[in-house]
Amino acid sequence: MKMNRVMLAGLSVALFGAAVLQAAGADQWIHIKVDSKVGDEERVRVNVPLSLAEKILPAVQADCLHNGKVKIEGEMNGVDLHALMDAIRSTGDSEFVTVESKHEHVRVAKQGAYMLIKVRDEDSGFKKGNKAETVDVKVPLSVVEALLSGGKNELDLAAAVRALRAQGDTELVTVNDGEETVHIWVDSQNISE
Amino acid sequence: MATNAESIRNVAIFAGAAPRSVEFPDTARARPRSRAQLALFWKTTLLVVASLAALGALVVAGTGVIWVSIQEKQPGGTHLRLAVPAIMVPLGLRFVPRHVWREQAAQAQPWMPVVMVAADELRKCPDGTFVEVRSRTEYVNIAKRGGDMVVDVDDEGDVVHVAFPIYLLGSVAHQLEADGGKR
Repeated sequence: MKMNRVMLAGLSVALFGAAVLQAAGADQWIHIKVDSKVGDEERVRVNVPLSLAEKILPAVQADCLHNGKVKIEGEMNGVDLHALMDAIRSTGDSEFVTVESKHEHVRVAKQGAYMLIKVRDEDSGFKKGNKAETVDVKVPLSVVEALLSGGKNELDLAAAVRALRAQGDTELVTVNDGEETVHIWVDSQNISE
Repeated sequence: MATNAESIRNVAIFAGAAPRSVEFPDTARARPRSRAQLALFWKTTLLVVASLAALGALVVAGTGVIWVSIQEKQPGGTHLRLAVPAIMVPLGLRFVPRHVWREQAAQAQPWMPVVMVAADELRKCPDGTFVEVRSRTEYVNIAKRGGDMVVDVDDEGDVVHVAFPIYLLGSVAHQLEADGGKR
């Protein structure tokens, strides 16, 4: 009897270990889903394993993308992105930008380990027969930090993908303008639906 | 049962016309031996051909096949089906005169490392659909299934299905890169 219990306990530990190992080894996929209600009512699904993106990005040597890093060509008007990130990291949960107008609401905030951007544009939504155009962006701070970990005026996309991979299941972007919806997220499934 | 040659020899010895040690021309015995040799020859040939066919099948099975199917939707439209052993592509490229694809190889040169990395990583990736576009008039699907990339397109004019082994991407990219380097 005692032997059976020991065996059962051993089996449970082994199964738990196997499940943990499987979860750790499961590849993360980034999904992009676009649904259009106009024209041909196009539906687009893009699913890319983050491991693939992580390996491919450093190999691309295009105009502004080299070794997985994008050079910011435009004027930064003296904005130091690294200093900005340090400031964001050191502050607690707070709202950085709030814009309120008759038809538009914009909010940029830090909440826990995420940067949040919320836009509600009723004016644009009404034109398309919708209640309001909405944009929700939720980016893990670790990803933003990784993105800014390159040199000055550089965005390290490869590092951001690595951070995203380590983050686990995450909702990134949701846009709904009445005619089209866009949804971008990361999970361990290899299908969008 | 004695053969003709043996009977003649026995009669000649019995009549005292020939000593026992005499060997008669053994034409009648030679015939069955050559028949056996012929059978052996055919058996050997068959074995060699079967071995070569089995080896070929093993090579094709190991290196994969490129499947192409194009079906025109118009009435009486053609349906082209093609199955090419994947190994034929890198082999065939060796025989294409370099000047034919020199320019294209040069243009594609910066992207060859990307293709090689992609091919390598794609092989390790789990199976899944990478791109799917569906509308009222069109359907496009790009997926990985096993060691193959599978592309399906269904539009107003045609239904196209292409499947090819992923390693082929890297193999062709290697060849194009090497060729570009020789310019």
